[in-house]
Amino acid sequence: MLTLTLSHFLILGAILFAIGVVGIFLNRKNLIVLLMTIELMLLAVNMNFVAFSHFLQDLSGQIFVFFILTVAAAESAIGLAILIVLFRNLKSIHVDDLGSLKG
Amino acid sequence: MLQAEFLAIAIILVYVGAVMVLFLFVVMMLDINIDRVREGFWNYLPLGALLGILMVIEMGMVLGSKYLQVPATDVMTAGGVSNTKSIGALMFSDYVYPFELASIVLLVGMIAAIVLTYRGPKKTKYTNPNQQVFVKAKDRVRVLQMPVEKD
Repeated sequence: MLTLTLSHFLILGAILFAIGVVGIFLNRKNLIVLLMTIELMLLAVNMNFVAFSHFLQDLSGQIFVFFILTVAAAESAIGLAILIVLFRNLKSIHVDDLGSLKG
Repeated sequence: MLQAEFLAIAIILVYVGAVMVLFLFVVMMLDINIDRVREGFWNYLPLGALLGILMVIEMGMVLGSKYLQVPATDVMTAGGVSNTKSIGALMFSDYVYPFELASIVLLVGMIAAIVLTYRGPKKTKYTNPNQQVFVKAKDRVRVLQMPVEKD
């Protein structure tokens, strides 16, 4: 019988975070997928918080997860709103088309 | 597992009910050229995969080392009090000020999203009584001169 220790959860969080980073690398053409991978990285951090909260017997970690959840929801809402405004102006959300500030 | 029932339900509700629906609406509203999204995928794959594997190995080596081990305590919810209840008690006593701040963050996010995507009042068709009263017959009926068509 395998008992789950703190390291298992931390490594799971690390794998989730790495998937997020790899997603940013592979899908850097598409702003929507970039937002999704940012959400994934935030979820990895939440995973770590919950694991530490359980193994250190401190409920504050779960409160922090709640606040991170709030901020992540607000962030994705504003990010998608910006994306819609961008699409109305440029007719594209392709990252390469966003170079109008480039000299 | 980790005895975090409240967060399990809360995260599922927020991500399925709010974030996923938001993403779906945006994907529906924008028409995206999928071919342009796919291009360059294979160019970035080796670098990305290398970086990801490196990160996982590094973190696994650090986190799997025996200095970071916390003994698996058999635990624990404080005598019959559910996770939700204890989180609620903590949130409305010690963390009530951050709780209010979180509500303000959500309010700001909501207003910002609405303001950013608002496009002004909708142009509806309406009748102008002034023009209706002062209308002339020649404005309404136009007589065309057409040659007669014969088969």
